[in-house]
Amino acid sequence: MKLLTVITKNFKLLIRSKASAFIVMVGPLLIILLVGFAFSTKTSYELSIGYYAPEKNNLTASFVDTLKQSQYQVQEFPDEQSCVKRIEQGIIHTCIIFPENLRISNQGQSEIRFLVDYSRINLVYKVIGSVSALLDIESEEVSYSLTQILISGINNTIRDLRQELSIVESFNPKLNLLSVDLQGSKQNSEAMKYESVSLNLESIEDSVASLNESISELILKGSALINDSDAWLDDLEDYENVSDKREEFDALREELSNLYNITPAKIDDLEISLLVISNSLSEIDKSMSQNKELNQEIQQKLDSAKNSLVSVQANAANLKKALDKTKQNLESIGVTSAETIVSPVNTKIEPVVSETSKLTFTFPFLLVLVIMFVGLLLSSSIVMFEKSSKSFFRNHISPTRQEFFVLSTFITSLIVISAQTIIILGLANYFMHIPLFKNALCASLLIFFTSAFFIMLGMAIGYIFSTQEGAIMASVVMGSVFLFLSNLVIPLESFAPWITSIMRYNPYVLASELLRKLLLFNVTIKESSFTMALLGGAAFLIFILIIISVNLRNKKRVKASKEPGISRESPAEKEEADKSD
Amino acid sequence: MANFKYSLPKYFHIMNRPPILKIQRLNKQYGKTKILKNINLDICEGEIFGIIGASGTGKTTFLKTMAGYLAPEEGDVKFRYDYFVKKKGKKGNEENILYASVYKQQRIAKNLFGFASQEPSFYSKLTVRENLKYFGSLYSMPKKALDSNIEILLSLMDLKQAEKTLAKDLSGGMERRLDIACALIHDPDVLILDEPTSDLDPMLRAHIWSLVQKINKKGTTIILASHHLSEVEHFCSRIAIIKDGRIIDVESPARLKTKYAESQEIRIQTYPGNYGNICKALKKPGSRAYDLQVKGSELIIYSDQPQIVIHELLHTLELLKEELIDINVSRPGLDELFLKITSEKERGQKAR
Repeated sequence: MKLLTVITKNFKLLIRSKASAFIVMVGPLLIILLVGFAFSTKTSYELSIGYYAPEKNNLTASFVDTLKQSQYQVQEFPDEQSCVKRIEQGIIHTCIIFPENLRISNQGQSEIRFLVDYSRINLVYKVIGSVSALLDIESEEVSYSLTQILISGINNTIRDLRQELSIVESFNPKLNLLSVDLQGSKQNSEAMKYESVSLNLESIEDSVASLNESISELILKGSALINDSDAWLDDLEDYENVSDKREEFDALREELSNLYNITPAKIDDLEISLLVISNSLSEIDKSMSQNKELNQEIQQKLDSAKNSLVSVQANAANLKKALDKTKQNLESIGVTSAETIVSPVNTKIEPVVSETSKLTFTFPFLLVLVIMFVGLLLSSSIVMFEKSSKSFFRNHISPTRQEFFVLSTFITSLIVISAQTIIILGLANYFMHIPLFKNALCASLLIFFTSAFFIMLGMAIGYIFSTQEGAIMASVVMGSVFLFLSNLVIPLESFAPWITSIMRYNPYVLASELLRKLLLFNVTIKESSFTMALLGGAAFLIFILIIISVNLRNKKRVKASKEPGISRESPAEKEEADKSD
Repeated sequence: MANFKYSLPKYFHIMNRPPILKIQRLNKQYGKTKILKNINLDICEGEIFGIIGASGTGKTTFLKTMAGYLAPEEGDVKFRYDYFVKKKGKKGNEENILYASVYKQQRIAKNLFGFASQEPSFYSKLTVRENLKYFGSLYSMPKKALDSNIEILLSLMDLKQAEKTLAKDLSGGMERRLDIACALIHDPDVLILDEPTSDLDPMLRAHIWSLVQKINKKGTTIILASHHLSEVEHFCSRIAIIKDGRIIDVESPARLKTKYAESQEIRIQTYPGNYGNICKALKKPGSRAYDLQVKGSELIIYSDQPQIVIHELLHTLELLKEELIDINVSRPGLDELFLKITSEKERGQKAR
C-alpha cells in the first residue's frame, strides 16, 4: 500500500511537470517515429555521380549510358577540376574520369579513375561499392562482347575447319585409290618372273663353266702334252731317259684320252645346258611377255596414282587456302589477351584529398558534436540554474534589462565553448597534425556561429522547461536527434529523400559538413557564407524569440506602460498631506 | 560616499514630509482569486511601516506589487519622483513634489526599492563580497561608489569577517544580513523586508531588529511584513493589519492598543494554582472579569475595570487559600489585539 502510494506520488509529480513528462514519454517515441519514417521508404542511397570524358567514343558512351540507366543522378562536367570541386562542395559523391583514349586492346587495359572523398567515411565505401558495381556491370558487358567476338571467331574457325575437314576427308578415297593402285603395281611388280631366269642361267653358266673347264683342262693338258712331247723330243736326243718318258707319255696320253673321252659328255652336258638355257630363255621370253603386260598394268596404275596425287595436290591447295582464311579469321580477333578479356577496363580509385587519417575526416564531426552538446547542455543548465536560483528574484527586481541576462548567459557559454574548442583544436593540431589553419578565419567564424546557434537553442530549452532534469533531457534528446539524423551515424543519403532534404538543414549537418570542407578543401568565405548565414540567422532568431518570450513573461507579470505616469501632487492631496503632518 | 546615508553619522529622520509612497486602490488577483482588495495607503519617508497579517492573507503579494515586481489589476503605487530628480543632480524646486507610477517608471522605481524577501536571494556559491559586488553592478553603480558601499555595508551588517566566505557557508543570521545588505547595496530609499526574522532564534531576531533600526536611523524608509507581532509593535512607527487582502486598519501600535484594547489584562500566578476554582469564583454574576484564560502557569483575566477585579481576586484567593506569587496588569499585546481586531471585523462583516 505504501509502495503504491509512493509510486502514485511519483507519477503525479511526473505528469504535473508537463514538459518533462512530454520529453520522457513522447521523446523516445518521437525518435522512433522519425527513424521509422526515415527508413521505411528507402532501400538504397541517393548518390550523385559526376563524370568527365575528354573524348567521347562508343565505349565511353556505353559507360555513361550504364551510369544514366542507374538510379543515381549523373552529371557531366567539362573538366576534372570542376568535377572535383563539386565533390568538395558535397554536391556530388564521386567523379568518374574516363581516359582520353578509351579503347579495349591487347596493348594494356584502359584505366577509368574515380575520385572519391574519403572524408565521407561512412559513405565513401558505399559510393565506391555502388560505382564499382556500375562500372563492373559495364566492364562485364564489354568482357562479354569480347568473349562473344572470341567465341564467334572460334566458331567460324570450327566451321571453316569442318569445311577443311571435308577437303581433308576427300583425300581419303583418292589416297585409297592411290594405295590400291600402288598395291596393284606392287603386286604386278612382284608377279614379274625374275627368279626362274636366273636359275637357268646358273645352270648354263655351270655347264659352260664345266665345259670351259674341261676344254681349258683339255687345252692345258694338250699344251702340256705338246710341251711334254717337245720335252720328250728333246729328251729323245738325250736318249737315256726315254723309257721313263714313255711312261710318262703314256700316262699323259691316257689322261688325254680320258679327257677326250669325257669331253663329248661334257659337250652333251653343255647341249643339255643350252637346251635348258633355251628353255629358260623361252620361259624368259614368256615371262618377259607377262612382265610386259604387268608393266603395262603398272603404268596404268601409276598413271591413276599420278592422277590421284594431282587431285590430292589440288585439294591440299584448297586446304591451304581454307587454313589461310581460318588464320585470317583468328587473326581478326582484336583482343586475345586473357587479362583484357576478363577485365577489359581497369578502375582506379583516387581520393580527392591527400589526407589518409580517418581521424582527420572524423575530426570536424567530433568537434561540432562537442560544440553541440556542450552548447545545449551548458546554456540550458545556466538558464535553469538562474531560474531555480535564490537570486532569480533579486536579479529581476534590479533595473537591469532581461536582454542583458540573456546576453550574459550567451557570452558565458560562448567563452566556455571557445576555451574548449581552442584546447581541442590545439591538441588536434599538435598531436594529430590536423591542418587547422588552412581556412582559419572561415573555421573560426563557423565555430562561432555554430556555438552561437547551439547555445541559443540550449538557452531556449532552458527558458521553456521548468525543471533542471527536463531541460537536460530535452537538450540530450535534441542533440541526439541532430546527431542521429546526420552524416556521422548513418549517411544522409540512406534516408528517405524528403527526410534527407530536411536533414540537409540539420544544424549539426550544416556545421560539421562545412567544417569538414573547410579543414580538408579550399573552401572560400563566399562558398561557406550561406551555411554561416543560416546558422547565425537561426541563432539570432532564437535570441529574438527568447527576448520576446522573456519580455512577454515580464509584461504579463508587470504591465508596463509607455506613458511617463509622472504627476504633480494635487492641491487636495497636498492639503491632506499637510493636515496629516 | 558622502551621499550614502549609512556613512552619515547623523540620524536625520524626516517624518513631516509628504509620503514617499502612495498606494491607491490597489487590486491584485491570481486567476479568479482576489489577493489584494482596494488597498489605499500612504508610506511616510523615514518610517518603519509594519504589515501584519496571518499567513496567506496577501502580505508578500502586497509587498511585491508595491515594489513593482507584480502588476495590479487595478490601482497604482506612486513614488516620489522628485527624489530621483534630485539624486540625478537635476535642479528642482523643493516645493515641486512629483509622483510617478511604480509601474510606468519601472527602471527608476527599481532603484527606489531594496527588497529582502523571505528566502535569502543571493548566489550561494559566491562569497559575501562577490554577491554584494554583483548585485551592486546590476544597478549600474560607479565602481568607486560600489566599492565604498560594499565596505560600509560589510561593516554595518557585521559581515566584514565573513566577506570572503561563500554564502552557502554562512549561518542563518548572516545569510539574512547578507540578504539585507544585497537589498541595500544600491542605496535604496525604501527597504522592503518580507518576514525578516522568520526561522531565526530569538538572539538572531534581536540582532536583525537592531539592524533594521540602524538602517532606519540612516533615513531609509522600511516597510516590513511579519507575523511576529510582539516584535513589530516594538519597532514599527505604524502598523497595517491585513486580512484577506484588505487593510483593516493602519495606526501606530500604541494607538491601535488604545483603539481596540477596551479591556486590560491581569496576569496572576498562584500556589497551588487551582485556577479552575478561581475562575468559578470570579465568574459570578456582576463580575467585571468578562474573560478568563489559563495559559501555562498563568491565569489571564480581561477586564475594563481591573482595580475592581483585583480586589475581588484577592478576596477569592484568600477564601480558596491560594497564595499569590505574581500579578501583572497591562494592556493586551498585539497578538491578542490582532486576534481581537480580525475576529471583530470578521463578525462585523458577517453581520453586514
